[in-house]
Amino acid sequence: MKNSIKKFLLFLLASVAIGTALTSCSTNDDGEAYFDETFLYGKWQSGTEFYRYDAGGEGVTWDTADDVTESEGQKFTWTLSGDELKHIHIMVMGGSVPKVYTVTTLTASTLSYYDSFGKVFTFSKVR
Amino acid sequence: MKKWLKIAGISLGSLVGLLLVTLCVVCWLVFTPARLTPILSGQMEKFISAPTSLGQVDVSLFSSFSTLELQIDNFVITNPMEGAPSDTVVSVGRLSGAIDVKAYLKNKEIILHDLTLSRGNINIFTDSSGKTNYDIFPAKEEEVAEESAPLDLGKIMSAADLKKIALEEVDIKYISIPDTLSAEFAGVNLSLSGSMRGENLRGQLLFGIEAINMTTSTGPLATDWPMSLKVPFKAEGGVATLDKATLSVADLIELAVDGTLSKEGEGIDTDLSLIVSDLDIETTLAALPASFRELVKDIDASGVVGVTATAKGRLAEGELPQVTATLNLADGSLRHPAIPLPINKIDGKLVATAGQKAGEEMTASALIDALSLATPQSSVTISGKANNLLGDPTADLTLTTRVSLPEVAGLLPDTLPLAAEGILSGTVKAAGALSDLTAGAYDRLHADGNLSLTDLSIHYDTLHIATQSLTTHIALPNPHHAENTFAHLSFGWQELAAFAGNNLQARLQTGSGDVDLTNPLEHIGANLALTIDGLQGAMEEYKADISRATLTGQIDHTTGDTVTIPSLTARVILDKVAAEASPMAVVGNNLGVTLAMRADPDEPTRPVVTLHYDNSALNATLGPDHTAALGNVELLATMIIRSEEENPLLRFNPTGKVSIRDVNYNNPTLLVEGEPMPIEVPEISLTFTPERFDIIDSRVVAGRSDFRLEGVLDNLTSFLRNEALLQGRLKFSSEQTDINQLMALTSGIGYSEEELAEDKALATHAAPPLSEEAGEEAMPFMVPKGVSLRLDVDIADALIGNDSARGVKGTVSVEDGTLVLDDLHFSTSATEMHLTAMYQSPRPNHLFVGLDCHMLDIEIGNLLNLFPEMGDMMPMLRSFGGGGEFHIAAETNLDRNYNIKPSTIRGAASLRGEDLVLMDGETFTEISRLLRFNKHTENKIDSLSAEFTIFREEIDIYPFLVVMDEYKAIVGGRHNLDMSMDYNISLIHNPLIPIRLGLDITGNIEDMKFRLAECKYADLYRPAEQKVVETSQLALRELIRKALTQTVESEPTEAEEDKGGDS
Repeated sequence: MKNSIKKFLLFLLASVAIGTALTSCSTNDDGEAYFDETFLYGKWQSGTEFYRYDAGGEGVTWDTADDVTESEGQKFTWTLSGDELKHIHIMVMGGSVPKVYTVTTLTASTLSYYDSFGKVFTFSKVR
Repeated sequence: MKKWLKIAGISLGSLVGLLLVTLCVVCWLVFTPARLTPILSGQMEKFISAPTSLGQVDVSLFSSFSTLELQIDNFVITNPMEGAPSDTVVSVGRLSGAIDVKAYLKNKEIILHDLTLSRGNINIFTDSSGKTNYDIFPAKEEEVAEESAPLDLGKIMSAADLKKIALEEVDIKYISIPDTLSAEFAGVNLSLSGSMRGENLRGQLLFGIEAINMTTSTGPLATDWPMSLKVPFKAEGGVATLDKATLSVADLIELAVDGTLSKEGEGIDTDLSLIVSDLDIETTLAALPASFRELVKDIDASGVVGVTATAKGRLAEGELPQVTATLNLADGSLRHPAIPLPINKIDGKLVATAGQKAGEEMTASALIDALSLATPQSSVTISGKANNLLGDPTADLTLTTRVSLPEVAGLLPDTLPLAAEGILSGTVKAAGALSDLTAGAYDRLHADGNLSLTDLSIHYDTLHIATQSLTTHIALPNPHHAENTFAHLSFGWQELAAFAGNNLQARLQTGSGDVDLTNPLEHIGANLALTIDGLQGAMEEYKADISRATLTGQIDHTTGDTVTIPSLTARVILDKVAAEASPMAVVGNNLGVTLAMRADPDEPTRPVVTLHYDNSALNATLGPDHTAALGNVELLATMIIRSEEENPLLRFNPTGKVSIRDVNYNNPTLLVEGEPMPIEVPEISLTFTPERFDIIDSRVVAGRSDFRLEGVLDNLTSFLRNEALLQGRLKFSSEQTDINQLMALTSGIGYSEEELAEDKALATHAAPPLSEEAGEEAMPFMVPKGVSLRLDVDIADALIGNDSARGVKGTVSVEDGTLVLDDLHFSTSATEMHLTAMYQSPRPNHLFVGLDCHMLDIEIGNLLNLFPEMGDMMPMLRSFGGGGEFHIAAETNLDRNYNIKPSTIRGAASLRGEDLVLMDGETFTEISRLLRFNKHTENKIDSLSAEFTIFREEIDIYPFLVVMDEYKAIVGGRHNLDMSMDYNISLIHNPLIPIRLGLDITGNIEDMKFRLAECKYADLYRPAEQKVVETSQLALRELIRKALTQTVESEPTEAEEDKGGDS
């Protein structure tokens, strides 16, 4: 029994260690949440909805449910500052549509954020 | 035969000499045979080197005094030669003669009265080396010289008063190995009798051969041919007369010669006539030697040929008598395997004349006096004359013919599926010189002919041509044309019909034509004029009826130039044309087409074609109620043909101009918005080159639109070669234009079937139809690709959607698949609008539409009417009344049925208004109650400035300040396209309650939930209190508004306004 408790505590410790290691979230010197934006690079999918984040702060988004391909995706620029992920969707007609989110999870495989109205978005990395 | 004469002369001379010697010997030795024979034998050895023998020599002087008669019996000369049929050269049974002793004694003249050779055989042989068996005389020099001298028969004859020279029953054989000739003359009888006194000669020659047999290397030449010759003659006073001299050879020929020859000075006057008895061709052919018969064995000929000839005139140096020969052919017929038809009724008369007058060239001419022949169904007659046959022959002939076409068609191979009916008849006269003919100087020939075809009917395979009459007339030279003087050809027909199976039928009514030609050997030139009173044609479902057609044409080309394209010009005028190809039909009046072709000056093998078309009126029915009527149409085009190009425009490179007037086009299938769209074109006038179209003027009334289009389309050729965009700079002016109709009219230009089909498949597999209509594969408006068109628009009244726009000015451009309405200014019922819109159609199921619209003074109610979707996206707008300015930029992608793709919606809008009215309603009442508004609060909003964005289904209303009476509230939130909402109203100033209240409004339009909550935006418009979030919100609003209004004339930004307001 004692050994069992010991093994459980070791497993719990290991899990916490691994989770801590794989999660990019950490805090900066000011105590603000911080995420490694390199995890963001690449293609993310949620159902039929796709986002592709390119290095340099540009990206495209599309939804195959609407018969839109990646090459036809709409452009946006993005910034990740602390836990604030800002999309500026660029309109062909010249306007722009800003969208601001708060990131809760950014790992090599999962991206999760919510907006100011509490709407949560979760994406999986497309390999 | 000259050799024969020589042999005969030598033999005769030898015999005469022998006789004289014998007479002398006889006279000396008292004429006893016993004495004479040895003496003569001995003397003969001196004259003849070959062995000879004499039977007996007998001389009698006294029985017939005063003549000395000499008789030699059994005189034989032998000369054996290998290969010779006999050793005997000459064998004479009896040789006798008589000499006038009295004349000898008195005048020392030896006059020979009679010379007869009876029962003789003469064998003449020449071996393969040329050696002859009659070479029997000693070769003394004197004799050789004498022998080599010409035999002077006249001298011999002048020394003799020959009463008779006779050969009786002499057989002659002649064999020449080198000549492969063998001849036997059996029963040769000759009787030459007459007398010669001084220069007068009178006598008669009778010569006959009972049988002539002759064989050559080719076979028998003559077999048992008898021959007889009778020549009565006299020569007196320098006049020689032949009195009915006759010659007959077997059954081949019999002729008679009559006339005189008289010596005049150095010449001879002739007056001779020759009559050849009628020759039966059949008999003559049968009598021909076998070797000749072999040559003509396939000829089956009959008829009678008669020849007469005369020779009159002087025969002297440089002069020839006029010889006229007449050949008559009667009842002739000819059949030969090589001649497919029997030829009968050959009749004709040919007269040939030749002669030479002193100081002139010899002349010869021929006259054909109606040579005619006939086949079973056809006949030909030739008559005429030919002159100067020995120099440059000329002829003047007339040919009259009547040819049965069925008979001619029967001569064609059975494999040729041709049948013909009808008669070709006519007369052709031709005259000219042979030198002109051979030199190609056809323009110096003369011809005049008429040929006619009657009841013509020709069947060739499935082709059938028939006419009652087809006549032609040809004349050389041409008397009708000043330039093309070589020939004139005219032709005409009545009711000419042509059929090709059951598919093609054509009927030409009466027509006629004229062709004027140049000499083709010098220059190819022709003028053609053709008139057809009417033409009806039908091919399968196509029919045409032309009331009258005229065609004129010219051709001009240098003979022998095989490189340069000939110059051709043709002009066709059709009084009236009615064509039908169900359900289509065309009726045109006064159609004229001029087509000219010449060589490109820079490239002679490249044709340059000029086309000129015009008509006064053209009406076309293109289907049920589908019609097009054109007034005057005129087209003038020059085309440089480049056959190596595939695209028609590049191949023809047209340059020219077109004008079309009074076009009315009605197409019931051309439905726009479910209504037929008639098109009227009062006038179109344009010029064109391979690269450019200049629309000088075009007025079009299309449906509810009337407009005038002017401008330029450029880069046409480059566009077709995929080297450049098609560029257009056009001006579109209109009193009224229905843009909806025009878009429907031009939809789909420039897209390949593959592109459209491929996209259909992609759309089908990629996603399910977004609506029921999507499954019907509707085709949206596809913006033309590969073109760059700029259209300056000036429309007084434009129908767009359900509204109309007035004073539309701006630019509509199409740029390689993108349609842009660039900065259009116009007024609608709701507002004055500045509109920039974009429409792209990368593929049918993925369209793009974007809008940048600025309405500077619009009633919000009108705004919602103009864009009902705005009310759905921002329901709060329905709560406001009054005017303001509205800016919006929005874009989305659409599917093929113009359904919005929700994931692609992007938009940003800015609304600014003053003195608005908050519409009283259940919602406002509930809000007023919860926020403790005074019941007397005036629902007038002093000012409002709001920005909101649309992203997919989310519509974010950025917090904005509302000032109403003494109340200030900040409103912000989110509205979703599913009509759910999440708003917060933060009341930041309430004159009645000094606390800040907040109100959350959630739920959806049908079931809104109100709940007092935190005053969420309390510090938004308090700069000193603003936190990061509030600052960011304002920055985003600034970003949105700036982007929206940057294209509009300078307006105060919200920041500026806020600063002003706050201050």
